[in-house]
Amino acid sequence: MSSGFREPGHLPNLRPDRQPAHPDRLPRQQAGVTPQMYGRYPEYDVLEEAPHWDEVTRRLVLDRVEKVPDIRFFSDAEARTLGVFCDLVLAQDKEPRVPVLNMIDAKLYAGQLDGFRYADMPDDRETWRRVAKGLDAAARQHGSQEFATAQWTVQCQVIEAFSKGSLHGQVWDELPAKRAWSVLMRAVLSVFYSHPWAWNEIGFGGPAYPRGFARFGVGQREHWEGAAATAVDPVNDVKEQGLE
Amino acid sequence: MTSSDRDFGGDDGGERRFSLRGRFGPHGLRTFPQGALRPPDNDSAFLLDVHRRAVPRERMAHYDDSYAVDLVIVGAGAGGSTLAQRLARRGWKVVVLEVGPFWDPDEDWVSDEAGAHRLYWTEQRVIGGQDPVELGKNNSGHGVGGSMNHYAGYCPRFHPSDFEVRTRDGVGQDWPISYWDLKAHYERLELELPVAGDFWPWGDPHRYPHTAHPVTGGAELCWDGARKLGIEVRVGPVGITRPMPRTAKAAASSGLRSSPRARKVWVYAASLLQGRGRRSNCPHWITRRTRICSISGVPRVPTTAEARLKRS
Repeated sequence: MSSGFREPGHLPNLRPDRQPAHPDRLPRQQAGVTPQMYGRYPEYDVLEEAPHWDEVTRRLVLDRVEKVPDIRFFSDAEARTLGVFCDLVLAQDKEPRVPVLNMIDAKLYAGQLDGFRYADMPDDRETWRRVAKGLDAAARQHGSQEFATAQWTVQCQVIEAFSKGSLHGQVWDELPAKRAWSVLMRAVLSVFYSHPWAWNEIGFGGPAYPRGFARFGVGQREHWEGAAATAVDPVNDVKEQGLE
Repeated sequence: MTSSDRDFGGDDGGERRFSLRGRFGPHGLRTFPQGALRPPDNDSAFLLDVHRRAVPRERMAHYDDSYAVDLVIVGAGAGGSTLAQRLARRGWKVVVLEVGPFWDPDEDWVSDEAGAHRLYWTEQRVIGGQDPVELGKNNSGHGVGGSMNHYAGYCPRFHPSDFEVRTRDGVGQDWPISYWDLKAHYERLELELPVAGDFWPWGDPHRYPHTAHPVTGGAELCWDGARKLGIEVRVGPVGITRPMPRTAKAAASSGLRSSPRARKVWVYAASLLQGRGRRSNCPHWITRRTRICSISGVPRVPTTAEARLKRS
């Protein structure tokens, strides 16, 4: 996918695959890091607030940025497939990316699960492994070698089908796809939004202890929170651009 | 029920080491000169160190493994630990078994949602059947304190009709007890926690010891919408001190410690209850409306605790 305005990639009608516009038109992040360096709050960096957090919290949050765990739970092949999957569902198509799969891998390796599973589902760790196999199998049905190296359009089709539970084949006949989708997406989203770069993107204030919040009202923000650079309402914007 | 029975923990066979002079209202609780409800002393609250959030375990008594006990309670959550405390006050020898750690809030707790995951009890539960309900990961807690470790403090009472769902709605089962059996216990706990919330007009109308907390932007929008539809809205009861003296009652009862996190700002209703003392520091509206005290950002032991420390 193209970046910047030198190529016509930002014009939806001129994109080679006619896919919806990329949010490159959002302001470039000035302070700190966001995924792909664009964000609604270009001058806001939540990590600048670290001195206001208690010591234990500060260590925990900064480690998320500074100490990315190695992949220990997934095999190389699984990590390749699932890494592409995670970045695709989060629309992380260029650096910097939140290392979502590494964080999920660390949780699964440590056995940090959600505490429940459906009776017709395997353990969450097993679900991740089977999905990795299933995504590759589905990509092969489209004539690709594996999911990670498949065409972007093929990857999107597979993910679309996965989310709707309409994949078929060996793995998918034994695994309720919709529930597997929910297992994966719960993990992907909670890990992504636990990362300070994602907080910068959405303007989240970060840990509140011991400082606390004082301005609760509609449209108010704390003095340290960043101002939005655009008044575009994402809910309407998504509709207008046909991104739904 | 005698008036001393209504006093939580007060009736412990002469072991009570101090008392404050005060008048007793019709409810059996001590009152302030102005008539506000004053919570009876919660001795457990004063076990805490002023500058630490952890239970000072080095000051706890130790017993031999051969020590004979009257009761074993499994799980040191909201129910188990309260039961143990109440029975111990009555002279029972109680052991509480807890599978998780004895948390130190300063070291083990973080102000971060993902980091709080370890407070959850995540032993795997299997859900199934015709219409399985997806659980949250935070259904219950882990360690001393149980789910109270990640409890937001919401403490509504049951509606009186909740006890008769079989009779009224033909679903579930009726309870063998009624709301009225529980009412005195609700009142007792709401005062002890203490609970902050709006006057509650539904079911058995009641008020809470502390005035309601301010609401966030999201709740404000919801409130606005409800108002337009003619739906009554009240700020729900939470067990978090609200040291904002809308009335003398609110300020007077906030000398109690409850949530360790809510300890940061204290209103101390010290010797100022007579309307003397540090009134000169007070914002005008506080002195005028409540004649109580000043608001201080510095944690300070209230007089009841000071009295206790001197005596012990």
